[in-house]
Amino acid sequence: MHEPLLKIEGLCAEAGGVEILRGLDLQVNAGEVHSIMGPNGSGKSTLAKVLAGREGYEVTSGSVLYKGQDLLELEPDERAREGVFLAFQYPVEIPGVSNMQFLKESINAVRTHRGQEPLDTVGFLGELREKLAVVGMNEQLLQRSVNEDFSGGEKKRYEIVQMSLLEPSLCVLDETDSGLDIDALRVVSEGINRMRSPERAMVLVTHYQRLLNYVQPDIVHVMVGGRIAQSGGKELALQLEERGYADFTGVDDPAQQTNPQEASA
Amino acid sequence: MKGATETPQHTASTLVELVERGGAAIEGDAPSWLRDARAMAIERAAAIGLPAKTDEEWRYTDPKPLLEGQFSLPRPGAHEGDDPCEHMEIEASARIVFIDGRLAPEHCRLSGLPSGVEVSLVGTGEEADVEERLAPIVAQGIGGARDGLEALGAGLITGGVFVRVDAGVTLEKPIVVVFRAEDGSPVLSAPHITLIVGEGARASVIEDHQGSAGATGLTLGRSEVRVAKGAHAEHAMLQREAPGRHHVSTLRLIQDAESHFHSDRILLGGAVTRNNIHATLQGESCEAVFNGLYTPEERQHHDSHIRVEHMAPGCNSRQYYRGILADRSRAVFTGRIYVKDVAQQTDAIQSNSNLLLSDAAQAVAKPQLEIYADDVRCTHGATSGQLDADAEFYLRARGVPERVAKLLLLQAFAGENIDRIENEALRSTVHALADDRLGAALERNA
Ligand SMILES: Nc1ncnc2c1ncn2[C@@H]1O[C@H](COP(=O)(O)OP(=O)(O)OP(=O)(O)O)[C@@H](O)[C@H]1O
Ligand SMILES: [Mg+2]
Repeated sequence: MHEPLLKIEGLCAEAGGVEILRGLDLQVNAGEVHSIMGPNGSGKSTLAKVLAGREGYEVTSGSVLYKGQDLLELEPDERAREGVFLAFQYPVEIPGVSNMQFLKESINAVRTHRGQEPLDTVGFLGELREKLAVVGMNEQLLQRSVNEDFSGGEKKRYEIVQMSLLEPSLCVLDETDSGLDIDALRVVSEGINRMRSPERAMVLVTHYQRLLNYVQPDIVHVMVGGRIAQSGGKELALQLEERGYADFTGVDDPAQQTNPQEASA
Repeated sequence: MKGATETPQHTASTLVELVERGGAAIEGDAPSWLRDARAMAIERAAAIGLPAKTDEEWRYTDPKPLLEGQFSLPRPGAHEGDDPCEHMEIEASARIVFIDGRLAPEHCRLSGLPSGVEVSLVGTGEEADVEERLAPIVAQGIGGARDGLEALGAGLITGGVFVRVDAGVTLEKPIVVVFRAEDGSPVLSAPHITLIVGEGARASVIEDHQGSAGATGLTLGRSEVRVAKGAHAEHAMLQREAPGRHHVSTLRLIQDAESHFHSDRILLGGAVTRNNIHATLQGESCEAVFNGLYTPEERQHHDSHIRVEHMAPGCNSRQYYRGILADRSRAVFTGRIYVKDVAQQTDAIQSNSNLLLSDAAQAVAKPQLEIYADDVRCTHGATSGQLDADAEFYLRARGVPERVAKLLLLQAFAGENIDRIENEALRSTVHALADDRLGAALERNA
């Protein structure tokens, strides 16, 4: 078997002097869809930010290998150009930077890095229209500044638009399903499903089983207190839906844990 | 036009010495009304005193380099030779060029103005009849000056332009006046602009202060704007002087009822820059916008000092000033809104924000409200900080390189005020100048 796309071992990280990730192990192979669930504050977004390289989150020990290279060595923009994509739990509004300018800079930085020709305006608009259509986004939103005055649902859809434009290898989606109405959830899920491919892996951070009805995960992890407490198949998500996290919080019984490697085998 | 006679009399001196020597100090072939004005300015400066660092109004800007630097007045006569100016791609209804304080007649274009529009040159030795219209305004400027430096700016007048637009006349395109400083002796130029817009008329003037890289000296500028009832006036100033030249300029504005005024002041160059605005909203229901951007770098100092007086009911005023500070630069913003007791329903906003690109840069904001009416809406806000780290991360998380991400954010910040510039050609010129400057500043302040 060839090397995993992402291999995290013993990852510890802190922010603002608080230890948040405490020895996290996770392995994701190309083609897989993983789901990470866990109570509020368990460190899911922190993991996502550490993977994307957010300043202020300091890795104190452990390692992250992405495509066999040390991900933590790379700058955030290098990671993105190398194919790591984080869909933000809270996409940032950037007044004064137009969506057109932003997307064009973004896609052409990634394309140039891959040795592809940068897109001209016509080519870019063509691509963009297609991706917008998939998630049912109105082109007129592009006249505004990045995420500015987008509704919660529009922001989440827009993350999917960016993801499909950039065609990353590793997609980390942090609660992209939160704040979506029922129809939007279906549309966004469809956008995610379209992106599934044997070369690409997805990590879906979610609180709700309903996303997983649309996007069937291969592996479900439960994250508690900054580490993976249990991993299993998609039935684990159903079990969580029924019983909550009581089985995991406060308890730290290694016997309960399934090795993620085994689960994915 | 008189020929250029080179005389050795214009030896350098400081403003302090000039004021000490008194009114007769300035020689030359100026007409008598102008000699009188200069003498009056110098006398007034002596009477009220040149500014000192201990003055409250000069607390954050040391006037010493302005007062104690050795400057020489422009040589008499016109400038001859090539046009070294950087011109904007702008459609102007007239263009006037001064180089080193001297008119460059070959590079001016004054023909084809519509009737009802007067554009007269001032202080060039050939003005004949502008005196009776201009002298009272100059005298008023000198009399109302709040410190000696302002008095000198109001009355020294080494050259300038008098514009008058008759009631009801619309001048579509702006009058562009370029003041350029070339390398050489540290010239003291005192450019004087007057814009008088008659009832219901419409006009705009753009001043472009520029210089070759090595230019030194001092610009002591004055712009007098009078906006009659129901008129629209715009005045813009692009200050892109050489980094070794000081720049002090005062915009004095008086508005009658129901008039509209828009000011753009873009401070890019200069060593010590003092940008004064003194606006009096004299009549009811006026509107005035004061839009400004400053981007000091290295050891530049950009000080904006704005006073907006609401003297009658129902006027709106807006002060929008933004700055991006790099290296070891300093910026000062002092904005005062004064509302007279009778000026009910005043609606005044003042906002000042600064972005600091380096720990060594320093911005001072001093918003001041002085309100004697009770039914008013006056707000002010001042912010100062670094680039938004969340926004920068978001852009970088999409593959945008750090430098590009930062530049996008700086452009967005400056763009809010650049986009407010009324004239399109000036707007795109400033966009381009700011982009270059900010890009280079990011390189240095990485
Ligand atoms: N920059 C920071 N400084 C200090 N503490 C932080 C910082 N970022 C996160 N934390 C803390 O770390 C813990 C984990 O936060 P994180 O956002 O990763 O949780 P989460 O699992 O994503 O929660 P949720 O389900 O509510 O989104 C929280 O207690 C949070 O307050
Ligand atoms: Mg979270």
